[in-house]
Amino acid sequence: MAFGTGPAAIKDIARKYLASAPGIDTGTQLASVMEDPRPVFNPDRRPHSWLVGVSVKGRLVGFVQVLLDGIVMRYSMFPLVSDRGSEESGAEWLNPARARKRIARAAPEGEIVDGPFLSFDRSPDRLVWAAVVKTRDGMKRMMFAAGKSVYEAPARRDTFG
Amino acid sequence: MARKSSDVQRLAGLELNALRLAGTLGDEFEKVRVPERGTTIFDLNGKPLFVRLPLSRGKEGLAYADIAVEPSLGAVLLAVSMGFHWKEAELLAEAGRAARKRRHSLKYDTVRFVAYSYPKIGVQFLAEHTEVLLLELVTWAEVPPARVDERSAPPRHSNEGIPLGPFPSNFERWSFIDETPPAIRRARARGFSTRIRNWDIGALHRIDPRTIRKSALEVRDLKLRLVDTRELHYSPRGTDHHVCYELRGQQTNVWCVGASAEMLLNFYRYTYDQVRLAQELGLGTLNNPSGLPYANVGLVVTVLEQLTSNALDVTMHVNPTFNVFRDQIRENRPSISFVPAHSRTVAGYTRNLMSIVNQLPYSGLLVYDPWPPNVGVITRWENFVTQTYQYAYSAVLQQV
Repeated sequence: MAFGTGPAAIKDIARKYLASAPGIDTGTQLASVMEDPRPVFNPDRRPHSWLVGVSVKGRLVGFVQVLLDGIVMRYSMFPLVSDRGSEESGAEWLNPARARKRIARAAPEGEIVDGPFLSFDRSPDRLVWAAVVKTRDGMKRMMFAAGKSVYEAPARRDTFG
Repeated sequence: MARKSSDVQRLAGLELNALRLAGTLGDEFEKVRVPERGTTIFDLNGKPLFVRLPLSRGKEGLAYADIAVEPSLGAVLLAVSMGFHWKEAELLAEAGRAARKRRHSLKYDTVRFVAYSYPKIGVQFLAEHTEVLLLELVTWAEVPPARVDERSAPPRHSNEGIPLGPFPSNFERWSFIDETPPAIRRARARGFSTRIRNWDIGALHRIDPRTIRKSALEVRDLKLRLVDTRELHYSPRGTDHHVCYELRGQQTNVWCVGASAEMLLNFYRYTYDQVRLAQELGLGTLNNPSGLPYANVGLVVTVLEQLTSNALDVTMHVNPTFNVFRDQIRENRPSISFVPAHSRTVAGYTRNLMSIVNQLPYSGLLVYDPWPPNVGVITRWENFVTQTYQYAYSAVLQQV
């Protein structure tokens, strides 16, 4: 099976991590709700990990990323108010329809958007919604949406960015 | 060194009770008795390496614990293994049957357990102090004689030229004590002695550690440290100041290095925005941004030093270990961490001082990650074993 550990077990692993890891704010520990795990794929669509959203009062405050074998890779929190405005930083990550809309808006008219799926731009730290965009002449290219930022998959891979 | 069986029992009890207190050992270990005697496992050179203590609940075998007697093993508690009931007498009888099946006329006067390729264990048959047969435990396959000439050269520490130790292939036997390089043996022995000393404090002599209980180590005036953790503060006095570090999201999808540099400089009260930093680092403009080419990693050092008029002395570390980040945090300094295709900053660390059964102790970093663009995330914690660390940049404030 591609995703070795099932979503129920992954959710349980994420819940236990949040409850026991040192330094996690007690308010989050007490008030948080674990969302259903979503699969994260490599850009070539091989399974990579699971993303388990952590919500407080209906707002996504962070996520636990768990590898396929159940090892917790990280727990990441969105800033309450981001440094470039007061957008709801987490809202983008559990809403593929919104990501698809953003990618479609950035793509030239007439191009077809297939997807998106949760993936990453080269490093698993750089989570994105990825979609294959088909041009009018039948060519395919990959586009990424990371929050409000939409861009084409970088052609050059030997950079830190 | 722990040689007497009562010493081994006491140390095993203290180590196992600490794991129970930390929650690493579950309820099934509650009130399990630590036996006084176990099976001595010898090195190939004949010296005792460790003692294997079977842990049982009533008549039911639960697990076994390996307690070092040889200091160069580096730790007191080597392993707690569940799912295999250690019965010394039955294993020796089985080994005897397997030996006779292989060699009908086998004559021997001594049988002992040896770590023939630590942690692989076998049963060694000796006649007048000379080995006549060595069988691998449970599979009862014969372990062939040593083939020292055929070994490949072991890898070395990058700077020190010290081999990390022999890395034998399957079934290749080696002596843990004789073949571990002396410098590594000495370093591990120091860690072992420190651990023994830590368990030798007065308050712990008031308790009976021979039974595993969640509350066994809850002794007045004793605070057991299970986790080592620290985050950046305004000053090294962590108790009276809040965490002092701020997240900066990267302003374009390729400016993680600019954002990481901004975070580090902000900590030292330098205010350079990412547009300016991009200019210095050759990352283009807001309308036409680019990432930092792999070939230009050294530029981070130059730019940070230039922008602070050399008030910061910046060093680039290649393939940094966990201790590189930990040491910076202990000095109350952030560092920049490059992983493949991405850059972030490190503002804290945590590590378990108790290891989890059959696993390495957990080590995690508090990472201020500029991704996603314009937002960023604070990762608490990034599991150190799941990431590839390519470079780290430490910055030391120069004294006037």
